[in-house]
Amino acid sequence: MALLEVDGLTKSFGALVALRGVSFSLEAGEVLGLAGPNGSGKSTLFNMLTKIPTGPDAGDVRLDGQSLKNMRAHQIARAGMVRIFQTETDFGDLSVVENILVSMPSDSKPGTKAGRDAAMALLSEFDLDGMADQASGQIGVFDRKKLMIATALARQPKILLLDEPAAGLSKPEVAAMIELIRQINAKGIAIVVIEHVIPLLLALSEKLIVLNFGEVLARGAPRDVVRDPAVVEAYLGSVAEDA
Amino acid sequence: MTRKSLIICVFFAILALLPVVSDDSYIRHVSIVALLYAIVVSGWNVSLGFGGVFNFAHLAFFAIAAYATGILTKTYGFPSWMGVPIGIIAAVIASLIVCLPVLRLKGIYVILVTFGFGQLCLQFVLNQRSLTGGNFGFVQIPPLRVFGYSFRSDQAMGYYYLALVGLILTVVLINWFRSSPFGWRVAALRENEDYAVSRGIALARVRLATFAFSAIFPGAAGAIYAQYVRAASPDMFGFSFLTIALSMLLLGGVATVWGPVVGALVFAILTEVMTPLGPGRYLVTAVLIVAILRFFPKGLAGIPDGLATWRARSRKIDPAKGHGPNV
Ligand SMILES: Nc1ncnc2c1ncn2[C@@H]1O[C@H](COP(=O)(O)OP(=O)(O)O)[C@@H](O)[C@H]1O
Ligand SMILES: [Mg+2]
Repeated sequence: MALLEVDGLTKSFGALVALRGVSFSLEAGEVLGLAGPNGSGKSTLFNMLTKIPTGPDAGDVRLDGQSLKNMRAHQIARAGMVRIFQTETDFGDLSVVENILVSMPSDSKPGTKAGRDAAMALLSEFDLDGMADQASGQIGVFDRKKLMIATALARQPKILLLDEPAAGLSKPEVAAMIELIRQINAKGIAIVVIEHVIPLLLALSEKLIVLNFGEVLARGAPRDVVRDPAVVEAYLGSVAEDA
Repeated sequence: MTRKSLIICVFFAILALLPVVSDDSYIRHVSIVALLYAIVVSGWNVSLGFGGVFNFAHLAFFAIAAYATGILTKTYGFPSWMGVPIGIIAAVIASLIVCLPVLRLKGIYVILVTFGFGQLCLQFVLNQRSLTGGNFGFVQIPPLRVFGYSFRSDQAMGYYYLALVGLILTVVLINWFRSSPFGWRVAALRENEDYAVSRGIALARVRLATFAFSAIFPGAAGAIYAQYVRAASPDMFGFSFLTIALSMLLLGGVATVWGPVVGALVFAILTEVMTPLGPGRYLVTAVLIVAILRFFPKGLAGIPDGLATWRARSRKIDPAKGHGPNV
């Protein structure tokens, strides 16, 4: 049994079918890449998995063998599947360290000295400990992206869903981000990563799925998928040569 | 001792000495009411300010506490010292009832339901005349008396100090709340609901807890008020209490510990100073509030920060990064 089993997810917005019968599975510790043109349904897929803001019209998701059908969004996060959003998101009025503390499970005792120490240790892994007491709305784009990942880790997830973690970052920042994601995966956390940055996908993922118009267009080993003629035509075009 | 804690001590010392300096019964009355308002508004700040939930039933909690205290101590013979516990329990129960239908609603819908709840309570009070006194209000509530000491003696000195102690406890509790895991969750939901939920925060549970916690304050204040003026009246559900409380909150500054306290006291003093203007004083007060919010959007409590930023800017130094800790 895989850690995550996704079976026939379908979602429509009025007449627009944003996802149509998408299925895949993810093993513990695995990294799965997710690519596709803008509007192909990648973010919607994450929304369906996490039920933020709502779940799918049809299809089922099982995490550790347990169906998410009767779970609410916060219970899915507690069960171990945690996402980051495509745009940098933070609790702007809270300080950087409070962003972490509020994301920690209650058993980690966020209100105590030990909880705060754990939060600071997590921040230092992301080079954010120097700005722990700044309001999170005031820090830079790269730092906010890192903070969003750090708050996800504070939840101690089994699966991390990353929606375009490299978008808007400079070249050196992308390299740093790849390294960060590697380190997270090295802790045994499975990752699904949505990206347009092909080198990032090639560097990180063991499997790649390409979506197009809400359906799976291709799947397999990343190097094969990016050379798939259908993928090149629908999505990559000249990008494939750069990769 | 930091400068801030020194100011706080002086502030409460002045309030504590006020009855010694003046035993004028009118000043006493105005100050008791102002202190009670400060408690009520501090509680509203929890749901409306820290929580960002437009709960317009807050003053209804105050009224419900007043009625519950009055009815249980007068009609049902509960001892008067149980007034405050009764008020708190009644207000918290009311807050949970009104919270249920708005658990997952947002913005204008929350206003609609919560305001409607107050009007529903008002209709109940008007209709159940034999229980509540209907239109005329519920009168002759037994005053507070503990070990033979009447809180009414010495120009209601007892009520003054009760309200003052209540306010000090309020400030202590809200200060704890603001930097507790509970307070962080409340603020996180206000800042970004989807993001908060995605980090495992249980929206419904936290919102229920927010309402219940915020209702403690109008619960206590409503009970003290009822025992002090010895009456609970239907107009406590009306617009005028609500408008005054909202003005105090905005004037003082939302989502800060001291905003509601400063807002309530300054507002009370302003209205008294301008009594000679008659009804015109409301207009002047409104203009003053707008003017203050124009220059200090965070209200009176934001003035120290605002001035610091201005001073820094005029010295061409980078102003203090971030909001800094809220005062
Ligand atoms: N809440 C929504 N209401 C209506 N349409 C939506 C909504 N969310 C997404 N869509 C549409 O669904 C399609 C897929 O969007 P999305 O999943 O965000 O694409 P992407 O692959 O770029 O992440 C797009 O056509 C988008 O406009
Ligand atoms: Mg997207």
